[in-house]
Amino acid sequence: MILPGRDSVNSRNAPFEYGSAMRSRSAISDARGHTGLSARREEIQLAWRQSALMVDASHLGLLLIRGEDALTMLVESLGGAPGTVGQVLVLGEAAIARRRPDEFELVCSSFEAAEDLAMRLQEAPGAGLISILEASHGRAGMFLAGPQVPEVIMGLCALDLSHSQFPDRYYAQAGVAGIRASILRRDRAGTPIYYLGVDRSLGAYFWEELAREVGGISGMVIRAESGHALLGGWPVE
Amino acid sequence: MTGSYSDPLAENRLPESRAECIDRARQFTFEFDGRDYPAYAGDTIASALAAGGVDTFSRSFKYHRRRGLLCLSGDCPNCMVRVDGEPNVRACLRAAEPGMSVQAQNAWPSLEIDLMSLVQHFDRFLPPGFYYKAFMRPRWLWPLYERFLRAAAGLGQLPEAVPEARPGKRHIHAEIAVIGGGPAGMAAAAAAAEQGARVILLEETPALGGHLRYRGDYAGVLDAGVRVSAGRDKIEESDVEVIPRTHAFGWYDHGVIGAAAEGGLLKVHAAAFILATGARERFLSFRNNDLPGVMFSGAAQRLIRLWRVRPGRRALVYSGSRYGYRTALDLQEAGVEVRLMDLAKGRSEFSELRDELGSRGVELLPQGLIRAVSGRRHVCGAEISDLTDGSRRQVDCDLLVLASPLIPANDLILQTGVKYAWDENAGGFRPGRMPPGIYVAGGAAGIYGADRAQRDGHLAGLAAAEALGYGVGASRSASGHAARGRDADAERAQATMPSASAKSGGKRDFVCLCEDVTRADIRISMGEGYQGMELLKRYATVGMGPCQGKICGDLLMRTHAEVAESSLADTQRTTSRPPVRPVRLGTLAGDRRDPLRLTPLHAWHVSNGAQMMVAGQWMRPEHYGDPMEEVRSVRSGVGLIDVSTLGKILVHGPDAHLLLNYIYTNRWKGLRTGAVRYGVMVNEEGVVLDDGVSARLSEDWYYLTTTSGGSDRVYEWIQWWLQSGLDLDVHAVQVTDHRAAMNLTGPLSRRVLSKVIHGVDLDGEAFPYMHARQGRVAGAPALLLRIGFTGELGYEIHVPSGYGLDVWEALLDAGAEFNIRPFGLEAQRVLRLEKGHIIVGQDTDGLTNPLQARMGWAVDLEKDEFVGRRSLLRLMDRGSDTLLVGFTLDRDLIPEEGTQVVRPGEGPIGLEIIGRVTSARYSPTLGRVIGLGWLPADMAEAGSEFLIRSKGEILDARVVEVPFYDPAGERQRE
Repeated sequence: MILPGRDSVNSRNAPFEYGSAMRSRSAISDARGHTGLSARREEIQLAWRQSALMVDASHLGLLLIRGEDALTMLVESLGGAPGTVGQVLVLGEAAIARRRPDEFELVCSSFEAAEDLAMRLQEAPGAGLISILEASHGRAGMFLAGPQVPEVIMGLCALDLSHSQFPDRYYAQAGVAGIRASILRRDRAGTPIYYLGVDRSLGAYFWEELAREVGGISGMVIRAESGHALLGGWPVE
Repeated sequence: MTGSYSDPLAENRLPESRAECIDRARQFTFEFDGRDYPAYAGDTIASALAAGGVDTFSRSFKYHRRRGLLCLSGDCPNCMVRVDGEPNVRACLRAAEPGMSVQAQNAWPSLEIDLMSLVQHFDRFLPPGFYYKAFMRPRWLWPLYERFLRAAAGLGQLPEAVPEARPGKRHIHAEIAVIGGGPAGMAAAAAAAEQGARVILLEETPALGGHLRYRGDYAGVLDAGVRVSAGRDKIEESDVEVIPRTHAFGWYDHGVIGAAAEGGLLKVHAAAFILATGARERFLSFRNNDLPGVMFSGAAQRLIRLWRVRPGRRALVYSGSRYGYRTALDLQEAGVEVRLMDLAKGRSEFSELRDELGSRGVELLPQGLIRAVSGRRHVCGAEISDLTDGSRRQVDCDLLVLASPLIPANDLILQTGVKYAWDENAGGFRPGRMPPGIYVAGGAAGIYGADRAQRDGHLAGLAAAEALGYGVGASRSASGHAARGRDADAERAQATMPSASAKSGGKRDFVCLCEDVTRADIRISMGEGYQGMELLKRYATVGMGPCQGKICGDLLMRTHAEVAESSLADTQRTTSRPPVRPVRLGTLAGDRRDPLRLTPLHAWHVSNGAQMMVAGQWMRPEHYGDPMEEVRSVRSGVGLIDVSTLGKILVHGPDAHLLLNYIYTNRWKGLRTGAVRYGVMVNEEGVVLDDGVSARLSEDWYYLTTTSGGSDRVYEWIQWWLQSGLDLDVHAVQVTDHRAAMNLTGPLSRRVLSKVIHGVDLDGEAFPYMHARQGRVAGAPALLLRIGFTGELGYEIHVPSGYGLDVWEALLDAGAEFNIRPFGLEAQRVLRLEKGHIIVGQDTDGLTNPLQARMGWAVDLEKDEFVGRRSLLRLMDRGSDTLLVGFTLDRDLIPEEGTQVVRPGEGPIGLEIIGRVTSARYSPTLGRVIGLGWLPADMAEAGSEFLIRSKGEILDARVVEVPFYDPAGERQRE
């Protein structure tokens, strides 16, 4: 039998094997991994502080967790989970968003981190059916940071992203530029930062749509391979 | 007086005024019906043409009567023109621009001489609903009628070229959205924003101020200017976002207003809406009330004050409101000879204005009724009957100004669910209970006059803000907003205007200007039994034109009440629906936002010469230069195709097999881990929904594949059943984008794969046909499915998407020594057709069941209940009228997909359609044309001959057994 024979471990075994020495390619640029910077740090910081900065974040890992007992399992194994739908809890480098009462999305700093976390959660005790899916390859992600970002995104979606309606550490799924996107807000140093995730196959389209909007307000667009080196897992000052 | 002034550019242009909105330093010309007209920056097309002496702007829809400026506010249909190819542009709203080409509409051969206007002399043959009565007999003349009617119907002509730039589509969000930038709207926006709410204000015109900009029902123009400036300053100070040149055209579910802005469509989201859409003057009924020269007082004042255009030379002002006096004064100042019929004679609050008119020598006529205006191409007189003794007299005039009572401009408001009721005391319509989050202020609420509207708007702003938690308790007046309507009753804003020509036959008394519906038409329709308002509207087509009831709605109600001998309070109004004002289809469509999906290998395809094509939502390679050679390569060597577009769904849980057993027609119990099974999915009627292969990855994980276009549909289908009480312990997750997939196929595919595989024994016995294995391909974790869509030995390799390109390149490198070729969709279509595989959606349609599509082998009616079982049992008993068969042609002519299968019979061309071709290709492997098609069951036997009608030719075809290629399936099992 060639298929992994992990059926007897528990009901959360992974459908596919993990681990690869390969570097994943971004859905937005076809570059592997991360290379150097193409923009000056001062320019990036200016965009960050005054307008909008857009960075490919497809290198972030993603876990999808579903199950009626998922909340309990996350609390017991990770020490916490968002209590209500639409909330985000930040635990170390991972942001846990509650999509539905029985569904969570974990955004991690890398694919490897997502795999590690998936394996850890698979071994966690708990009853009931819980599906844990490492979904990093299925998503194109990007950061939009800066004071003008809410306007940029709101122009493309029916969601009100003003601070009063969508504060820091909020999450929603909404149609943006005609496609479904996950929107996760996590501010740093008073600057609103939104992580937007879409189906990988629509990543290039989505990037171009947003880039046009960001460019329209003199914001800065940094291609995938550039942004990561500066900004790490989540954008920082 | 301005009688001696003469503008060098236009005969009717008045001397400069501080309140004007034109820039006389910037002059230009534009063309109207082949003639150049001068204009100033700030002019609209209508104001510039009026200044240049144009009185006829268009011809009416049905009778082709002359139509001139009536409202100048975009409400009526009279000034619709074609601008640079764009039809139905309202000349009163569109700014004049240098070099623009404007043409009159609905006139042939010209606006001045329109032969179609002869139609009005045959109006007795064109009663309401004539299209239900006439042109029916003799039937053989219908083609002639149709040709004529088609040419005569419609309004405007579409542009020859599609505009290159498409308008945008944006969402805007606020806590409070104010619609209308008049005195009420400005006050509301400022008040709400001052309390801390996030407010946007949409205004249709370029500038805020509403009627303050041109009405001046107070001290005068300068005072108006000061008021507008003050309001604007307050708005700016309060941080209100003002969006000018934007009209809100519709109210939609979940509190969204659609608005057409210069840049395109806006979807306005807010927690509260303050609708301050103002008021408009009532249209009145009298003979020839549609002639050029009949004009609302607001239009006359706009022309004079905003664009400095004299609207006529000799005016009769028919005054039933305060605005009549002001308009008469404005006209008199503009050098117009003015007479005023004073219908508010007894009201003391107007005595000052009346005295002023008298002192200026304006003749005040006794109270009377306008019975008719005369004139062929323009008003040249009005017939008046005295209200007291009924005597009639003729008044010489070229301009009849209607200063009629105001009515709420409530088209948008009605869509929110607000009901307006007739208030006898106030002599007008008033809004009733407001839905949550809706506030109506100013003229739209029946509160007229600048001061009162402003006060009302302020209260509405406070109330809306307070409801959202801003300035709670800041103003007790906020709670008083709901009751302010009664307070306003204390002062009746309007004079009563007698119903004009009530006893006339009404043959040329127009109610609906858009559709040329007269009072007589209303009487006839109601006499025929169309008494209900909605039925009457549809039968007589009243209110169904571009104005959507703005001009005719009130008059229709009054006429209906009069004919039905009922009160206005008991008269129904027609339903208001979006759009309240015509919106360009291009605006609604927005820019071209086609979210095409790209596979992880897209860049490689493009850079390696693939001819790309759109397939559903995906971009896919059609071929890489020579699809026939690609087919040969697969049959004789090895090929590689990107199939990342396949739908992929993971199903997890102890009851996963029960779910699959329920949604597929075949049996899923007993599928061992590592095995793969083909499945067909049908709906409750037994109609084929989708098909695909699925692998059991472990005890409780299954990996389903679907057709490329069926991924979302199947996922939703699964979710539907999971939430429909099946009570299964199962989760399903869409993973289409998570995995890149490629099909390595051909007799040499095993040898290629063996060079890059790790952890999987590729031997035919260790990894047999219709099985799955997991291992590493070129270092990437991979799921391999041994299946054979092409009919050859093949491996479908699924890897994480981010590694897809690397794996693809590694396979091509490994296959280089075997002359591997990438192949595209066209080759795949040929390969699958040779193998006789159907494509759901192409070879099947919305009625196809698997029994008639030769897929009965995939239906297990003996197993437990599954979706569609009962229907399939019945279909099995009943048998199929038509069957999907394979066919071949003796000629190399390929019938187009969708082509008819025919046999000799009745019909215009002596042929009867009995079926259709769904797939047809030339098979380079078999050396002939092959295909699939639907035939009557009695002709579906192998060897039966039939006819195909393709491209004007009749082709002889013969039914053959499928698969066409390797019917025993030995090659794929190798």
